[in-house]
Amino acid sequence: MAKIINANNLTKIYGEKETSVTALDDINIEFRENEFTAIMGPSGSGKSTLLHCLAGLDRPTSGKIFLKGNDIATLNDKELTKIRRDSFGFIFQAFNLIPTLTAEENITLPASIAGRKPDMDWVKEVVETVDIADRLSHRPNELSGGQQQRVAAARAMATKPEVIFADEPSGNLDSKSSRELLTFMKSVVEELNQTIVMVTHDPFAASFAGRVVMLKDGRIASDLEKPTQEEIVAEVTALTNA
Amino acid sequence: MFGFTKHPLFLIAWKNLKTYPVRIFLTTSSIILGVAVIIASNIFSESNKSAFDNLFSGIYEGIDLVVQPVQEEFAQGFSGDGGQGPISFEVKKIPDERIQEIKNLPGVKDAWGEVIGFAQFIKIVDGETVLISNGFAPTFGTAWDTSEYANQWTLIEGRAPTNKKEVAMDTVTAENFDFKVGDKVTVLAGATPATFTIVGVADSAFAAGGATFALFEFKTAQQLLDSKGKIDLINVVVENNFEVNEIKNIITDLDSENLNVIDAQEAAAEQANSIKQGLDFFNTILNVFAGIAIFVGAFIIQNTFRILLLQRTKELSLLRALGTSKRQIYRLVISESLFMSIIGSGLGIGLGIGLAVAVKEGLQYFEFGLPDGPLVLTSEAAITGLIIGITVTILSSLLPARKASQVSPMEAIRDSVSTPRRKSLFLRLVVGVAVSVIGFVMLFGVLYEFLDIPNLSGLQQVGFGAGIVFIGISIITPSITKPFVFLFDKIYLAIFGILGKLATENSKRTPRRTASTASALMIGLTLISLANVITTSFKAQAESLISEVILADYQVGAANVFASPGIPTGLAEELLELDEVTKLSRTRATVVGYNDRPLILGAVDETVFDLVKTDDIAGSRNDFLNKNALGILKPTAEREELNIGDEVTLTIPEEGKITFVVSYIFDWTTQPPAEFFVLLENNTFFTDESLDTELYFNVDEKTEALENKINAIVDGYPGVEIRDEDGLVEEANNQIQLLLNVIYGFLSISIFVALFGITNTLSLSVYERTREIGLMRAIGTYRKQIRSMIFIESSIISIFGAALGTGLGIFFAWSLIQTLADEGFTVFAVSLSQTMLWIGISIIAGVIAAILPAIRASRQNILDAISYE
Repeated sequence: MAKIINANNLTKIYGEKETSVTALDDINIEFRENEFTAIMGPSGSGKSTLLHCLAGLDRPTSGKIFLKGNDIATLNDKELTKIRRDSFGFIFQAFNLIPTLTAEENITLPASIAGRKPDMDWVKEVVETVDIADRLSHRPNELSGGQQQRVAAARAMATKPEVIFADEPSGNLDSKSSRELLTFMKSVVEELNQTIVMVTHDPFAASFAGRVVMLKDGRIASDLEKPTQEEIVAEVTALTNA
Repeated sequence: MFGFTKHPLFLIAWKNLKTYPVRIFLTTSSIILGVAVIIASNIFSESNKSAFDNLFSGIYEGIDLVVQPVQEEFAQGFSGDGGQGPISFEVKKIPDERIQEIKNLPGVKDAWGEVIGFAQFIKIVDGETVLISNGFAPTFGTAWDTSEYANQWTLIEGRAPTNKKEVAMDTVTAENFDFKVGDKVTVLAGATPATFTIVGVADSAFAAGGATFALFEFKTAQQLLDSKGKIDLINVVVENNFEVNEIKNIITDLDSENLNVIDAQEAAAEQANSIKQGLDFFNTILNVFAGIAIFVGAFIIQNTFRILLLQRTKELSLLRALGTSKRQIYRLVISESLFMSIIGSGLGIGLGIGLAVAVKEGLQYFEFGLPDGPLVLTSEAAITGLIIGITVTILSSLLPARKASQVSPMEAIRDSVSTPRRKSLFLRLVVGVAVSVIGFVMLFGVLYEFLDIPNLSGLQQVGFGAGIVFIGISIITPSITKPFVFLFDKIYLAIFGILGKLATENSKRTPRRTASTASALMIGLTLISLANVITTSFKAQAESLISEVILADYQVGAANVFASPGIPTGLAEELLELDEVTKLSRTRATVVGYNDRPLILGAVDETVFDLVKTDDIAGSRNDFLNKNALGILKPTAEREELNIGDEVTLTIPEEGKITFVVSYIFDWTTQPPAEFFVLLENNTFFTDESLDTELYFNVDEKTEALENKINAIVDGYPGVEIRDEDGLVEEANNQIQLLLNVIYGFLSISIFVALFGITNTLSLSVYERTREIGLMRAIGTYRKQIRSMIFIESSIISIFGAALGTGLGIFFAWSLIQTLADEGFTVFAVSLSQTMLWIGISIIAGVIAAILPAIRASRQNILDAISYE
């Protein structure tokens, strides 16, 4: 599989001098097309920071990030915004949707702000995949938490992005909704050929991914291919106790 | 600093304010402005009053008594008000032998006469004759006082005039129009202009306020100013060892029927007062606008308080969680508002002083001729400003404080920014509609004559009704915000795409806030469009009236009725010599006695009835042509109970009693020049007079060549102005426009205050949507687009406020004009361009107000918005 996004010597330091914290410590990592990757690690391991830097939401202190070979770490705000809009999709833990817009308007929002007509055939396919076709005219406050996250997932896919970044997407959901959402995400990768990078601290959520990367103290501790939930739990325990 | 800050809650309040100076500024900005306008207007008028008092008491320094002729009741207005009264009345004078007589009295150190009349400087600029005057201020001629005790005029340059070829001039005129000692200058005094040499430039308090002065040698002044052998008043200085009152009585006894002796200081106060009255009017206007600023300010303070408290929900709820009672929170907020109001009012007083200096400098710049003097801030004014500022601020903070005290201790623990609970707007709608209906009933009750509230005039009832309608609509606005914004939905979506949709949706989200922000703008726009429509209607009215009643092609009159005695008769003769002049009518006027009262008798040519619109009431025009025939205006006939055939005996100056027969009663549809009329050619005492008051004439065809010919003739008579219909309309319009511009200037302050409200509301809106905006940025919205969204949102608020205000203003103006229909106001006209202009200004103002919140929104840190850890 072709690599789609990779980071070289990525370092992120917060704060100044004595009070500084190294969130990412010289990380080298690559993500391949049509792969569902979970990034795990204990609190403060730098997993969210890694996602933010990769997604162009935050800037690394040093190092390079390549999207299909083009360095995006040096782009200005406007260029970076355009990349987020056209090449990335996002699912956050909560507050994914604009409350004043309907589900459909939320899904097509990235296309709307780009001034483009959304590809309605594709949108229809995505909406059916995440099973929210009957809720399209509802506003977010009329949807359940699980439905809201599925709308967010649909929005993330609507522009056919290169990569979808998900930050604890199931963090606020009950176990049933959580399972549903993760199943959809998995099927999106398998059936619609999308690429997902997801941050989670939940081994159950990570078990849906084809690859699990463990972070500790801003470094990559391990990189597992197709681990089972048990293997993930064991790895997390080992890391926590180490 | 404050002893009571030792109390923990006061301490928190005080610390809060110290930590957030911007917060103080935002909240108090409107109070600062309102207090500033009050203070400035007060300083302005107080300073001028004291300056005028000083000046006039300076003028009369050294003088003990002033001897005035006893004026008949009707002429008092003329001598006492600086020449603002009608000039047609005959003013009594004192024979100049009296000066010597008084001077010879024992105990009188010196006595000298004063002569005052109309005289106007003329300057030739590029071949054009320019009559010199400052706006509507009068132009005076007077005698130079030679007494060593005279203080009225101080020579700045040159010397006093000593012969009939010399003149001195006031400094303001000399500076403004670039005259120097040694220059020749033409002065129009009486019928014919004459040339003089300027020998001196002098200064006096009299010249303050814009009046121009030509000072002549005493005898020359008497001759030029229609005072041969006479004087207008006598100044008297009493010997030190004599009682002033004793001398006063002795002089009065000389001729108690005709002489009125008053103390010089009394005369000074009288003169100062007459000028101060004019300034009082200006002061009243300023205070009205200060009131409007404060009223708009109260809206905004309340709004801002709500906003700031909402932003501090967490902090307040933490205090609640730690065991602070609701009552204590309430007190905390009130004490904060107390601190803010003190600071705001204090800053307002400071700004007011600055504003007063600016106004004074501004007027000085435009050569308004106000006296120099220190700015006076009375303690009363400062205290009034403080009390108003503090009261309004605290009252406006009561409701927000109550709301803040209701905050739940749970809020502190919750993560998200809470949106306020939405109460139903239904009750509000019901109350608002009820109030509006009461107002409408009062208003339409007058217009359609079904309700007449006792003790209120129709105009007052309409005014109160309009006020109540305004309050009712203000209550309703939150309920109509959604339907109103709904109108924008499609249009904004079409123009701005998804950003337009987001902006419209957001305005609907908090209808109360959108409405109260728009209300602040609504107040200003209501007043502006009211003023606009009323003046536009008056203009249209004037236009139709002028074309309806002036049948003549041209009208000739005095350029400045306060300055010029009339039109030399030679002008009418010269015009009649032109072949193209087909018809000409002269009008003259004089004061006559009727039943021991003064009345103006006018003399006209027969042709006047073809040139000015008159309506027959009784009798006939033909009978008016008879000898001894008298024409009377309808209102006069009614008042005097005169009918056709009645005999009327008039006392004519220098002629004695003449008896006329009432033969014609009519209406003169423009401003009539007199109440009684006779035919000019039948009455020799009129034909002997040397001045016409007005000329009307027709020409066979209006051509440019003819116009030039006529202008050339009129130019030979300085002080005379010729107008055709367009000129009359333009003149009327200019005066109305000037007034309108002044009103606009002041009302702009209320728009300015409303701007702060929009800024505050949008700031809160941005704050509340921290996550939303962060999310939009994360998924690829440009900063520029975020800014646009805020600007669009602001435009909705300003269009809402402007549309409501403009609508109400037009409606109120319509009601007012309907009410005045009986007074002759029949035309209702709306200037579309002016209306659009002000709506445009409001939108631009709204966008300007949105700049800061928009920048803030676009710079929002994305990670802060989307992070949860």
